[in-house]
Amino acid sequence: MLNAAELSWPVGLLTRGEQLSYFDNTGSIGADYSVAVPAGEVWHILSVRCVLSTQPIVANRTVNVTFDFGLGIVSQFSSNNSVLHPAGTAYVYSFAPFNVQAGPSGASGSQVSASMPDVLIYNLGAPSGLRIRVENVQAGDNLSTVGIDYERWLA
Amino acid sequence: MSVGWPRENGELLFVAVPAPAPGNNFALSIPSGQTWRVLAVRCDLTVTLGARSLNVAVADPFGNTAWSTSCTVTHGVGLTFVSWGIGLATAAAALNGYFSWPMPDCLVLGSATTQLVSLGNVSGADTLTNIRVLYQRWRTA
Repeated sequence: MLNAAELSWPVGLLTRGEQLSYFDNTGSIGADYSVAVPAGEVWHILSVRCVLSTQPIVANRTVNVTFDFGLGIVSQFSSNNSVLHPAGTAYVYSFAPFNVQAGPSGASGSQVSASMPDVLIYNLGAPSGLRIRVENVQAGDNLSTVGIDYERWLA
Repeated sequence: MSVGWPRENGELLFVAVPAPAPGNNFALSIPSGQTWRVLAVRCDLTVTLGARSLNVAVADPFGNTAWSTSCTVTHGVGLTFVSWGIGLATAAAALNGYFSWPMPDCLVLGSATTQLVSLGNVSGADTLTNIRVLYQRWRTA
């Protein structure tokens, strides 16, 4: 066993975790975007939203949400979006459990929905967290307006 | 049997499954007296020849397959990264060898013969490595 935590989930509404929202308009450029789960906390990720604006460098990109357990990339569980994101465009990505993959569509032709695992992540000594990962990311590609809704428990 | 679910005091566990010998599938036993809810599974698949398909399944206490996933693509020669998770509504194949597949959200009653296994036509020098399982556990005995 690599790690373990006692939980009070899933349980009735009386003992649901705190409902929290995370937002960061800064994001990251040319790199994954990471959010660390603080030590002693358990998070249930409900949804992840971000905007990826790609540079004119010709390459298709794909975006996924990866859940890490602090033991290197081999410990990840990923939600892999099959949508090919071309150069010089901005797509808005919305990940949530049970989402059916769709888009890009919508009034601006830029909305993408994708599903992600309905999992819990936690930090009991090993840095753990969530990453928005862009395959074939190019210098200058901008991940921004990151929003995460999650439930939190103190382990 | 009643497992009293949902209730408090479940545990969340994250385990590494030993890599099987080349050309073999992996198996993780679910012991007697425990009920599991498997949240996610992942592994690295290296195919050395031909095309393979890979799924995960649960063999129940009666030796039957309780459930199995069904992938929609094959894995060609090379390294791919495969994830299964509850809550995934859509199978997806991303760039650079990343795949994800839906998995049933079920409780599994452990026994001397209950296992979480991979079901694939792996053979020869194909390898399954970096196998990780995230699950909840309740003790029922």
